[in-house]
Parts: sequence; structure tokens; C-alpha cells
Amino acid sequence: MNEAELDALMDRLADGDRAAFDPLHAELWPRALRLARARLGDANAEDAAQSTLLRVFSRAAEFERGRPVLPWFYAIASNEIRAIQRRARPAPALDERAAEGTPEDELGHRELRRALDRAIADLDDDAAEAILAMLERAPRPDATPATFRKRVSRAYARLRLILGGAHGR
Amino acid sequence: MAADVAALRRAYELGRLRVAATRSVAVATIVALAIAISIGRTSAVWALAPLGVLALSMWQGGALGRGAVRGTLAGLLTIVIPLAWLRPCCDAVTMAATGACCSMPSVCGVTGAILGLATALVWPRERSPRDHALAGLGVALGALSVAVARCSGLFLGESIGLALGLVAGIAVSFAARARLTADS
Repeated sequence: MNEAELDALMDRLADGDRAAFDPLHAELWPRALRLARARLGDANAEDAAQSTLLRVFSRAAEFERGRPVLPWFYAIASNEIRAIQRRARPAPALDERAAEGTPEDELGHRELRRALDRAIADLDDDAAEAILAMLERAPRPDATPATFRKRVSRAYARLRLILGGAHGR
Repeated sequence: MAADVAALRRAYELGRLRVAATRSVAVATIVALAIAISIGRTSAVWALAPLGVLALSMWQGGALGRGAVRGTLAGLLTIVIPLAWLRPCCDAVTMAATGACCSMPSVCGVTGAILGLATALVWPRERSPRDHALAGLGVALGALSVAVARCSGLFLGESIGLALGLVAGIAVSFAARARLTADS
């Protein structure tokens, strides 16, 4: 199935056409599974794929018709996988030292990075997609430059709020 | 492990319900405000009717949902048009004072029919006859759900006249639109 057909299926599902559910599920499940396997290995891949699709289908009614489905889908999948990675990651060992900088610097960077990941996970899909694209951790969404700039600006504002609330200003 | 498809379907339906509830509350709030301003604060409770109709039809989605939203907005005309002006001698005070009242359900019937015909202007364009029929059902349900608020402030004959006129007008609009769609 090509991307245009996939977009059309998602449009139909967003419109309430339940007949689009099964073919869309058949298309998205292997993609979610493949991505999860690549990022998490076999152990947690199916759980990650399932939670990705849960999120995708629960937000299907909000999907903006006419937009390409795959960037939206992969942004959700990336968020879910990151959330699972965070949950699975053990507390950092004390001997985990960086080659550069002092241990305090490295710890600070790591904490900041983790706080940022948590905050990104709390963002809505559009905002997360925009931030991840800015960080070059996801493809740039298919939006006009003006729309993309607005999304990035809103996403930064929201991030500041979340990080400010969680860590003080 | 294969995907838990039942859980995914449940998530989809719950997601639709959440979105439908949020959007229908927004529209019903506008209807409630219109009713409160135009008819009276106590009548605003009738906004629960469009709330229910919209929530269910938007959850169902498709042509039914689109029709219901447009029907509800068209139905607002029944609230905004001051029917009392069309029946100047038929207010409750006059009736109580004189005992005679020129109740004119026909005026309400004609008003309803005109409003029903006017729904042709907001009719969603659907491709298949089935979707066209569903959109028509949505328009009728949406418009009637708002019209009940107006009817609550009318006498029985007027209410029936308004409702029947509305249904008849919508039916004519529906048939005309179906014919146009078939011709094109």
C-alpha cells in the first residue's frame, strides 16, 4: 500500500468509517513493530508497538484530514518508545564517567537531557514532532515553513512551562 | 504476541467519544446561550437535547455527524427568529385576559417549513445516496433538537406546526438535493 492510500485510510477512520480500521491496523502494526524492534530489541518491541497503536487509534478522531499520516504516526511511535526506554533504563551507575568534562558536568547534562525527554513526552504530538525535528531526532513534519515555525514557537513555550513547573524557574 | 485488536478498537471508540463530547459541549453551549437570551434562562436546559444528538452523531461520525452539526446550527434560526412577532395576539397574557386567542399553528408550520427548506443551504455534499440519507437524518435530528427549545415556549399546536413544518421542509430539501446529486 502506498502512502497516499494510507493517508486516505486514515482520513476515513478519522471521519468515523470503521471499515478503515482493519486495513489501517494491518499496515501500521508491522511498521510500529519494526521501529520498536530497531530501537528496543525483541524484548519490549511488541509492548511498544501495542502502546503506539493504542495512542494512534485513541487520537484518530483528532487527526487532521488531508495531512500525511506517517510523520504523525512516527512521532507518536518515537514518543512511546522513548517513554519505554526511560522506564526501562536503570539508575546511572556511579562509575559511568564521561570522557570529557567533570563528573558533575556530565551528571548535569544527563539530568537535563532526561528532563527534556520527559517534557517532550508530555507535549502533544504536533509540538513533540516539531521539537524532535529541531533536535534532528525525527524527520521534519510535512508542514509549510510558517506553520512549522509557529509549531516550534508554541512547542518551546510549552516546554518552558513544563520545565519551569517541574524544576523551578 | 499479536496486537490486541479489541483493545485498539476500544481505544478508537473512546477517543472518538472524547472528541465528540468536547466538540458537542462547545456547540451546545452556544445553543444554551442563544436559548437563554432569546427564550429565557430556564429554557436553557433544552440545550441538553442538541448536546445528546451531537455527541452521539459526532461519535458515530461521517455524514451523520456532519449533517447533525449543520442541522443544529440551522436549527438556531428557530431560536433567533422571534415567533411571538408572528402571533401578536396569542401571548399568554392576552389569552388570560380575554379568554380568546388567535392561536396560529399554521404560522409556525409555515415558519418551520421555510426553515426546513433553508437547511438545503447548509446540506453537506455527500457522494453516495446512503451518505446523503445519513446527512439528511443528521440535519433533521440536529435542527429538531434545537427546535424543541423553541417549542417549549409555544403552545402545543404551534409546537407541532413548527416541528412538522421543519420536517416537511427538510424532506423537500433532501429530495431536491438527492435529485440534484443524481443529475450531476
